[in-house]
Amino acid sequence: MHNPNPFDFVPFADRPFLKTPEEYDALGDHLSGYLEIRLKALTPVHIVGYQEPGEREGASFMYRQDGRPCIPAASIRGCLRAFLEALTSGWVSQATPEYPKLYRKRHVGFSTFESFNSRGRKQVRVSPPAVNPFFKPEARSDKKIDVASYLMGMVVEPQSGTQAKHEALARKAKIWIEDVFFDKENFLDRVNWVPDIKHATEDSFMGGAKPSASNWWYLQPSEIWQRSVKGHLIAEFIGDKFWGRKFYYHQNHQSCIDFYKNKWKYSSSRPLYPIRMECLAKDASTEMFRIYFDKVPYPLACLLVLILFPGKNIRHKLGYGKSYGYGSIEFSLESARLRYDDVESRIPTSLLDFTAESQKWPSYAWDLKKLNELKLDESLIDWQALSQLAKTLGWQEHDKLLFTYPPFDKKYFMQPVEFDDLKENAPDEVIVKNRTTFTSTPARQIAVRLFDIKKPIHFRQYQETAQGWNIIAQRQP
Amino acid sequence: MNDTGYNNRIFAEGVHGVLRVNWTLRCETPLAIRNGLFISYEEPKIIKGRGLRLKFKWKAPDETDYEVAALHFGYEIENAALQPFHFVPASSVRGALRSWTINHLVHPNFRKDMTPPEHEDDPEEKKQKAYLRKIKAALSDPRSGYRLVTSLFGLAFETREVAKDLAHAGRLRIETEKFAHAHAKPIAINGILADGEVGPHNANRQMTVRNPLDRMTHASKEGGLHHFLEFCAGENFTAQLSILNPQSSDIGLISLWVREINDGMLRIGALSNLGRGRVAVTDQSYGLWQRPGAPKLNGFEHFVTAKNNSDDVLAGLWQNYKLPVAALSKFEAYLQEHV
Repeated sequence: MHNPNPFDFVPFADRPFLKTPEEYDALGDHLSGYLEIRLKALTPVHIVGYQEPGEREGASFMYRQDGRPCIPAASIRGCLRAFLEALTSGWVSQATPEYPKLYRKRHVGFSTFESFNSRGRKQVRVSPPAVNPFFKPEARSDKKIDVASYLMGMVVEPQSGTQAKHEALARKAKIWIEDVFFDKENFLDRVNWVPDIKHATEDSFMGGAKPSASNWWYLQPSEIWQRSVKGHLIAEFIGDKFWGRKFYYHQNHQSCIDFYKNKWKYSSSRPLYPIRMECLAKDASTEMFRIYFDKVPYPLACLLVLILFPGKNIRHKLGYGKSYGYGSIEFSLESARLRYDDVESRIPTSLLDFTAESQKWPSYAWDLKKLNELKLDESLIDWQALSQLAKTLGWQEHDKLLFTYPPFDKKYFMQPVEFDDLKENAPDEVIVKNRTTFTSTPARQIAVRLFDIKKPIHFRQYQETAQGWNIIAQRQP
Repeated sequence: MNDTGYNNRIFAEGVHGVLRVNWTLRCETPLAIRNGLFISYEEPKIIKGRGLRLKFKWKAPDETDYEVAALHFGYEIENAALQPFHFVPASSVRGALRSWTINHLVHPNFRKDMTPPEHEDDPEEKKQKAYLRKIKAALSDPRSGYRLVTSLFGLAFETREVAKDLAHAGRLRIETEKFAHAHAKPIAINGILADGEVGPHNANRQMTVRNPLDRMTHASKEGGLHHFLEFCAGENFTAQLSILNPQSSDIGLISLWVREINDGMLRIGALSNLGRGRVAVTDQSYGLWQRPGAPKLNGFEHFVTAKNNSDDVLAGLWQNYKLPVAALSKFEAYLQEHV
């Protein structure tokens, strides 16, 4: 049985949840001030500063500011915003717009929010948008924005065909996050490592994600093409819509690295080349850092605290080497100094000790009745997304699971599927020919029937037949 | 006086007093003050290496260079040579104070659409009229908080016929001094000091990178990599505020500014979303100069007479008083008349 893949996807809702800033403003009294937070590393945390090659291994040095090891505010912010966008069915605020066809690298081009005309020598395809364009951040004529943009700010393009001034397209953040520092006692100097391969080029062991529309790994099934490769007719599995927003599973980093050291096959021309990393040590905590609120409506302030502390089962992940078990973190709320900004009296009071009240909020996750007490609109939360977030970011029994990439090997990514095998294994009601279009059910059936020939055809089929899926499937928020 | 009841001739009786405020400000977090310019660095291609042997160029990038958003700087003549130096422009401090004041003390009805339309000519005329109506409405209401802002920061109009009725310079002047870090290091990048042309050397700086991740792939977003310079936490600079014909409410407002600056709620420069621009007032002094017979200032009893041996140009001409820092907050009550 294979290990599950280290990442998974939170599917998109049909539509993003949007309101006008005025509607968000009206959700409750406004809170300003700051929380003092500590970050604890549940597994070692590494943020890349600079990397130095060596003969047998490389070194990756921790990001520093003015000489001090640091987790930059932008990393914390990105981690929280990605979670918030998924949880509240928000826009996709960060996306590479286009994946063009590349000679010998990407057979079928596609675009994230728009249709894409992919023209090859033999095949021409108009790829539909890989994400429903409703999820593209835009300065809309109705002025509606998602929760994340209301809280964390935005700079967006005007809606197609409209003209809008810069001020209409930019929105200042209501949440300000400061950098996180830690001292030398909590610093682990190049004990931990991630696998790479020694090679004369820039090739890496598992480089950045290169999503392809020629398989159903990042993109959901759409068609199967017939392709002639060295005299063989093989099947090419064409996908069109992203499965969803990507998140990484938690796991024991040491078990994962041991797997790549002892069980992964390396060729003599591409031997293992460990990259040793400076890390914030496992179980170590950072210095306190601040997260500021600038006139955040009370229910959304509570929501932000819930995002920081997403219940007893969910933990966040950030930094480098997430796929190898690194970067699992949790926050602790040390103190809070907040005030209500009174619209009528306007003259702001001093910040008050809000620690006791704000420390209660995390216990409300994700109890609907308690959330109603906070006047947190339940429609604000995409409960299906939360369920999937709990599965992927679930901390329960994380050390019983091992998540590894499918190998580049026979029966895995290296394995072509002969078109004849496809025809034999297709469901009876499907006539397979070049450019056969599939709906999700027969596509999954094909992946099931071809599983003994090639396992990683269909992302969901691969994950849900992996070792330990029963543990993942039972996880709840 | 115009039809709003707001008196824009605020110096009609002449200048009878000046409040001088000296602040020393320390950067508690990095501080990003942009000047719209870009400098660059080059990085040699090293297989399996990254961020090594960076060489800065104090000039705009060419095709192979990496672009870096620069930090504000100016020039001075030193030893018969033009020398660049970093400083926080007074406009940045002024802008931060003004924005905070509008966003907190001005009634919410008068916070939006209060910036002048860009052009005088059609089709902006309607917008000009709407803008003028809004400004007049805000000024007509003594409790809108808007008079407090305009009186200190001034009021500008694009159209001249309106200007004569309402426009005026503000009573607040701000000056800043350059950073005075005698032993500043070259630009720090991940704990390594950059090589090459690193520009001014009167403040510690660092280069920071933003690299957002694509939500569906977790790969770096194409075109999302940004580098920028910022002043390091721990740097100090000074700002002098002068308020002509000071009112008690002005001092109350300064008290709020100091509190909010120290709490991190009032920030200077860009990227507050990334925690930039939190400063602390580490040293402060408040002096009042008044001409004989100046109108009595409410709360004047909190001032103490100062010795007239200052080197201020007003020494010997006007009377000098000091306000102890502890008494500053007592003036906050005078803000009530504006809200």
